[in-house]
Amino acid sequence: MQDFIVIGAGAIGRGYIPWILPNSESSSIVFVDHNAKLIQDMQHRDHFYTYQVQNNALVKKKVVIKAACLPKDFKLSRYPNATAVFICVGPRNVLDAAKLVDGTSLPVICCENDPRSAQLVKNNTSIKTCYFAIPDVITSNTAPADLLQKDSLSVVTEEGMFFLDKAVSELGIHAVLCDEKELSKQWKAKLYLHNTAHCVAAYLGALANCTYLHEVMQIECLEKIVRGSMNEMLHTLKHEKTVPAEFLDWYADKELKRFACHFLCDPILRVAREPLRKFALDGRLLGAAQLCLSQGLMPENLLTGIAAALLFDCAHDNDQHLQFMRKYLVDPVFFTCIFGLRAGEALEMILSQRLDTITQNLQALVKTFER
Amino acid sequence: MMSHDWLNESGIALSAVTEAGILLWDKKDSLIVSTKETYRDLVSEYDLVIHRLIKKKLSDTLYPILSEESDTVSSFLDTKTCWIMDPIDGTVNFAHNIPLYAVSLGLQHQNSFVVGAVFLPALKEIYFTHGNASAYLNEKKLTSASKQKWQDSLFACTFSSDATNAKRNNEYQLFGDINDNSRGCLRLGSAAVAICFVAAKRIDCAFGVNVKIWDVAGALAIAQCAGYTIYLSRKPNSFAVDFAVGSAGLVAQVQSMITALEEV
Repeated sequence: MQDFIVIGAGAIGRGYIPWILPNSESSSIVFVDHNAKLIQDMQHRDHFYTYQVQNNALVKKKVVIKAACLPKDFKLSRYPNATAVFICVGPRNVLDAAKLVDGTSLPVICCENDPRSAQLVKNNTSIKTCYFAIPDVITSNTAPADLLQKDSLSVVTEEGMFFLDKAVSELGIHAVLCDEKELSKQWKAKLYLHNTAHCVAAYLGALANCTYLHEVMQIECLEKIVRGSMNEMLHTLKHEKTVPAEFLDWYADKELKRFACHFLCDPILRVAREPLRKFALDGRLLGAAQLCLSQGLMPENLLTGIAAALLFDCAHDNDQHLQFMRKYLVDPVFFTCIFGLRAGEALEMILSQRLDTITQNLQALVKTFER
Repeated sequence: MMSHDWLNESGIALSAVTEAGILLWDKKDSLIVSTKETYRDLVSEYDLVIHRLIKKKLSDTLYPILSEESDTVSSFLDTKTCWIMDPIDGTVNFAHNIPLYAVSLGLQHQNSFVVGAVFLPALKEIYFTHGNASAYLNEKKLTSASKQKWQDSLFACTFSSDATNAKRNNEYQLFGDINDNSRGCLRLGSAAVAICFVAAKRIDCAFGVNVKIWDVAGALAIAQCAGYTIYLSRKPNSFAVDFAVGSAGLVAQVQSMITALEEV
């Protein structure tokens, strides 16, 4: 019997990882999460269900819980049959999660939206066997109401694909083993063709008071902006010529279909969370915009997405101080100190000159169909 | 205007220091207007411009403003709630193009520093309180560091510019004792910068002897909101203070060393 340690029992950890493990007769999962209520619920049960969208229907999978605990109560030595560790906690929490298994020689697989996460772990712990993986999947951290009524721990995921460093080949998990070049290609597509348009959709949806992401794709004028930002990234990546065009076309097309999938019930607040992290200079919003500019394309729709992100206001979010900073910092200071842009560089100039107008237009647009 | 959570005042402070501080981005040759108490204590034209700008920004608030560049400061000794400003902490650094200087603003309320905003324009770093419950460096939340052994700790110290102080040799002795038994003791030239660097986990403990309250008010509010331990001792009938900030163990030890200094 193999034990798999999953640190982070959210969308990916609870909802998707069980689908890629060897079958449940030969493997069991130990969950670690800082959410005390979640862990308490798991400790009172021996299983929960995750659902996968297959051929427009939900397929159910029973996930056996071997154990569930808070980080402070977790000791890897209690699980001598542990085969691998999955970290699915969000890029900001990777190091704290990795320190729970510091010293291990087990494969530690970082399923984070940041390719530097594995190196960060290696640089700051004694773990040498840390690998980057790309779960190319949309997984909600919740489920439709009728499923939640039967099982409060239910989550829904797509089928997706799990791209993994080929150095981790002996675990028997359902993954596409990749060399560095392939992983890099998959990451580029995920970052710019999935993450960018996905978060643009989320921030537009937040402004329009949508609850789930697929609702955004049902509002024509918002869907147009999401599709527009996807096309901007698609054209940019094709122009860059580092990834085959056919692959990019296929990827972009599949992404737009995924965003519209109503089975997922993917909350806007999940996708939109931590907007300041999404504003990383090399990330899905600013990095994407700069990539467009570097290839001679003015990303009008992406700029609208950036404006929407700057309006995101959620009192319970880790970045709930965003609006405080927007209110009290003048734009030159915000763009330089918070965004990290240099005064006079292209994107800084564009935002300085146009952000106010873009924001006003966006707010006027949203008012036309306010829920 | 007084708010229970100090959120409004935090915002005003943040706005004031940053709008003033961006003047320093286009710093031309800093014009030394005069020296103050000693030849080592400089004030530049920028100090005065920033003083006036921040004073204007704060004029709508209820609270009086104590500034290093105010003409009359003695009336503030008994004030329960007031803004405390240092237009440029580290003016010598500023004059010499060393990027360790800051525009600093704090709000004191009943002997506590409840709000702080410190802008390091050359480093593009903004330290600020969000209400009085949390503190940030730019977009990142500041949290306190874990316990640190003395010999592994890096310190930063601040002394007053008054070299004629009767206890000067004892202050240098204190510096040497800490420097030679730890990872080292830096002298950065700005108390506000040193304290902010503690909050940012770059330095383990910052301390100062006979420094002015406007050097530290804003930064101590930030460090406190970030969860650090503060030692502050105010000299009677004066704006001079001794301070230490860092983890509890380090502060306790530095505090005892400073206190011993006073008893010599």
